[in-house]
Amino acid sequence: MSQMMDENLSREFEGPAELSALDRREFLRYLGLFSSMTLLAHCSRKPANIIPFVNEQKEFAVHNYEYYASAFPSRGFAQGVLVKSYQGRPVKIEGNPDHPWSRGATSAQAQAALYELYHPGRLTTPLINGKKAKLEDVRGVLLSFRPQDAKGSDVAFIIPALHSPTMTELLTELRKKYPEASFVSPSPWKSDSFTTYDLEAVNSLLTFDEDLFSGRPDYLILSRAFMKRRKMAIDTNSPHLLNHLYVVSSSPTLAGAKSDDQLFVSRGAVWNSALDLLDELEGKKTSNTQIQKWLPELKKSGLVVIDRSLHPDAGALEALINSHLGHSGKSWDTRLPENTTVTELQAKMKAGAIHTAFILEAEFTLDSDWQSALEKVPVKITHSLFPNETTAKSTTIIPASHWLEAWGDIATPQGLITIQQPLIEPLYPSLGIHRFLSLLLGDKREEQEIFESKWRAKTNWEEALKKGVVSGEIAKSTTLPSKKIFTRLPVSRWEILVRPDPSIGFGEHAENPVLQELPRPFTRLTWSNALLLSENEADHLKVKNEDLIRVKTENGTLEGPVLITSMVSDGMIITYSGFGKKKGTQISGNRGFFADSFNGAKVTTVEKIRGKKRFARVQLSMHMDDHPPVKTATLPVMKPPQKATPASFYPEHPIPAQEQGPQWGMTIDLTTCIGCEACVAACQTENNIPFVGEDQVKKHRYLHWLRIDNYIDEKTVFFQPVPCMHCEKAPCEVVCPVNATVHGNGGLNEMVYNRCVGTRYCSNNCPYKVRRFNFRSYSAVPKPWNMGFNPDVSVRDRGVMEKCTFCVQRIKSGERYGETVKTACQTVCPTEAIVFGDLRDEKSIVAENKKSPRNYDLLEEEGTRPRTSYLKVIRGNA
Amino acid sequence: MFRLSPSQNRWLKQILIMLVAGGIFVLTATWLFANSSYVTKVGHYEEQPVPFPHELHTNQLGLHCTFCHTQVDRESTAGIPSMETCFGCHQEILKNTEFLRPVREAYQNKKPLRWNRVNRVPDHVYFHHASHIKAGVSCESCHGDVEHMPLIAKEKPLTMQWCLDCHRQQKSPLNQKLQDCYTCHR
Repeated sequence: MSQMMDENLSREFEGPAELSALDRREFLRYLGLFSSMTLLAHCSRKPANIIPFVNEQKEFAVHNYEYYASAFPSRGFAQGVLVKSYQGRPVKIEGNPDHPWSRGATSAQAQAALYELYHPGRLTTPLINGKKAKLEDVRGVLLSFRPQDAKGSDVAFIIPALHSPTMTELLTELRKKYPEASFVSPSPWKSDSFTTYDLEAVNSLLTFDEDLFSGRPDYLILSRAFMKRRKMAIDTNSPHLLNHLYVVSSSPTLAGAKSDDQLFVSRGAVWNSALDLLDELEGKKTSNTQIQKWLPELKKSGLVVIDRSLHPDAGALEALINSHLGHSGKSWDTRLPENTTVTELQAKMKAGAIHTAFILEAEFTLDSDWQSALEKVPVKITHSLFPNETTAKSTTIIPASHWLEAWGDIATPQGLITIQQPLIEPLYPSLGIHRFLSLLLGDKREEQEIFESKWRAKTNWEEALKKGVVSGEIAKSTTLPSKKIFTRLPVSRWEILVRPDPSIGFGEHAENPVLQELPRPFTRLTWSNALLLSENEADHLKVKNEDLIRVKTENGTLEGPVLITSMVSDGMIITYSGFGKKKGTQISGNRGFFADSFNGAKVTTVEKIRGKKRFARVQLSMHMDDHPPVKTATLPVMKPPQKATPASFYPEHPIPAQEQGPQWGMTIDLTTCIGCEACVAACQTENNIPFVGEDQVKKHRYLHWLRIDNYIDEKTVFFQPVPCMHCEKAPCEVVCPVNATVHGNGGLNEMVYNRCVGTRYCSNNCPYKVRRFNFRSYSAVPKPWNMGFNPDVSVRDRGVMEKCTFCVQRIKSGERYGETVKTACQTVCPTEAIVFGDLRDEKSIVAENKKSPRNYDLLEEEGTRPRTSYLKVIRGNA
Repeated sequence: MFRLSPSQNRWLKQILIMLVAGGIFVLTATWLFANSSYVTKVGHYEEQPVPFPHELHTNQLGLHCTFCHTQVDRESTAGIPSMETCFGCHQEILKNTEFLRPVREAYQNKKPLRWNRVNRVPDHVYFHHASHIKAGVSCESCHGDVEHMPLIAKEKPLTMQWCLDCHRQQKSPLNQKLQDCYTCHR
């Protein structure tokens, strides 16, 4: 037996027997050889190559970079952007100052768009009937498409809610070609009309569940206009000019956070209090004391905005209330070329009446209704940027071009056309949406030809490209429907409300790691969603944060972790859409839970179940106990008494003489900061800050150089952006054993990555906790994400400390070429809350702000003398 | 008390002297090695796909550096001439020579030549040519007497010490800021 085993063993393990034949001397000889070979391999003195261009290049537009105007499709409408391009690849997105709907600012979604363009998980190869194909074959398939029924009664087009005149024309053509085909958009962003408001003229504003400062495609100009008016009152120190904002809401909103008074009620009660307001205005007495309290201020040139998804009659009610108040919005016709509804098409599909479906908006077809309906469609031709549930069951997949790879024309809600100009050749064989549709119509022209021939006939094409806007194209204005009698909504024990996620929307940005990791306002969650409950309800259910609950509804059962907040009313369950995808890439796959189909569903029971889910939250406490988190003031603001600067034992850094150039500083206005997180995303893309992933966020290893602290006291919210303060007496500098963080002559606290050995003493000694440590090689992102890196900023390695540099690359470039320096966070801010500049320049806004009576230093008792200071919060009368 | 025998004493003394001498030797050797031309590559030539004679083009033909390195006064990099620039002259001049064949082929086949880099600073240094030109630093200060180099060789060590030596001497109003870390690293 044992002999047999030995034989077996020796047959199995021939290796060791042979290796032992190597004697000691020979072994050492080989060891020496291999180690010297390894060493020599590292001593390669092969020079780097310089590869010139073949043809002489035209001069760069702006110092190594070129800027092109384009349009970011945000919720179907245009956000004008300027894209910075380096050697043919886009590296940064800025707002287009010439565009009336962005004015140089952008949303966080536009900032992070490069992480979608260079996403390694994009669909890269076209599939035809399950087989890999070339783009020419795809074109052939589309050109030769003939439906079984020539009128197209068995064809469905699932179209995006994109407001592009050319797309509308193409779809109208298609409808003429196939008069019986179904056209419908699954997008939750679509609406019949869009109403815009001039908030600068409004004295007092009351919103019902509508978040004016986030989510809306025009939030940039709404927040800017509102804060411009508020700043005017502050600058002139006149309380009677101060505008007022009141919010009745069922979910936490950014407008509510900036409001002077807000009320949290259930979704049904929001609608009913809007009706109370109407009754009060019409002279009928109601029992709603809150509305009565706001009424006198509202009657002085007020405006009311009601969330359109609240009730089918919301638009009519808003129009009627506003007719009493004097102000009103302007409404624009934003209907899509649809000819059926989603439920009708789904019923048709389930009955087997649809043979071919062109799915041009796959990311909104993930719920069970769509999935089971699509199951019955034999031919599914899907056009998508990323894989998802729908592409997984499609017969033909045509990869979509990213908006930075394709031509387009997108309208603002007012119908101002913005040319979407591609910045880069498509990275993979893919088609833009317009090309897809024109191929179906038998038009073989390239995308550029389609747009150029169209717009050249109507306008100055070169000028339109340069500015990004085609002037004079105004959409049809429309009036909101009128109605006199409204019914009240019943208020039930539980109500469930699914809101678009503030960062990834309804899931259209779910594949974007930067947006996934962007901390959400109020919840401070990243990478997942939660069920928001009030404190009372949590007590009743005996649940704590992260405990799982089960919500049984008419639409099925929803299970998810609880997050307790003071910003919802009792009986409300708030959750966010966009999560719970199963067949996406690693970024979106299995994050959070799918909530979309539960919006407004009737809840039968809510119960606690076993289990917990740990959240990846960046801020765990929203309070500061007795210490006021931020300073507030009321108009008129008085100069606070001069306090002695606290003593400091840190070394003095003499400020160099006048001719040594600017001394840099920053002010952040806490009155105007709306907490939209666009600056955080801008900072991240400008400074090559890696995302770290859900597990690492749970360990608090996120790397955002700029964080927005949220402080919530019942229903009063404060936002406080905290970058590196660039202290004149910096506690971090003295504790560094290797001089890796030193004081610069421009007043900057400089971080030298190549000296850093990673002791993390500096971070421990920083009272503001703004230093971030690379616990892992986070910067080694999969290719081609690295193509979006800013070439002017070092990519940091593992074991290195990093922090806000005041965008030193921009300072250096500004000093070099004599331009105004603007940091990335400052450029992107819609309300101009962040101001950066030379403290020595008397005329600069930052120097003026520093002299303001509202100016104060964070933790001034520490005596760190920070170069970044804050302006106190001022609110209107409650 | 522990006592050393005379022979032990002698041995210990010798060992100590050897250790100190050895230490000094290692430090000196390291310093010399680090500053040797083997490491700094001063005086080092690189083999190039075409033996481009700077001396001929500048000293003999009188072309200025900016004739080919066009962006040097505007951008961070000086710019290497495109194949089109080379071909622009060499489609007429020396048009049938064998040693210029790679240049002609590179242009015609649209496959640029791969020059070997001679002067380089590490990736974490953000060197800006135009700033130095504007401050009046001549090309020769860093690249040496290129006008008399038949083949380009590295003439200055381009180490941080060497950069700082110059930055410290500057009398410009910005001289204090020139010594900030962020001037070159960020």
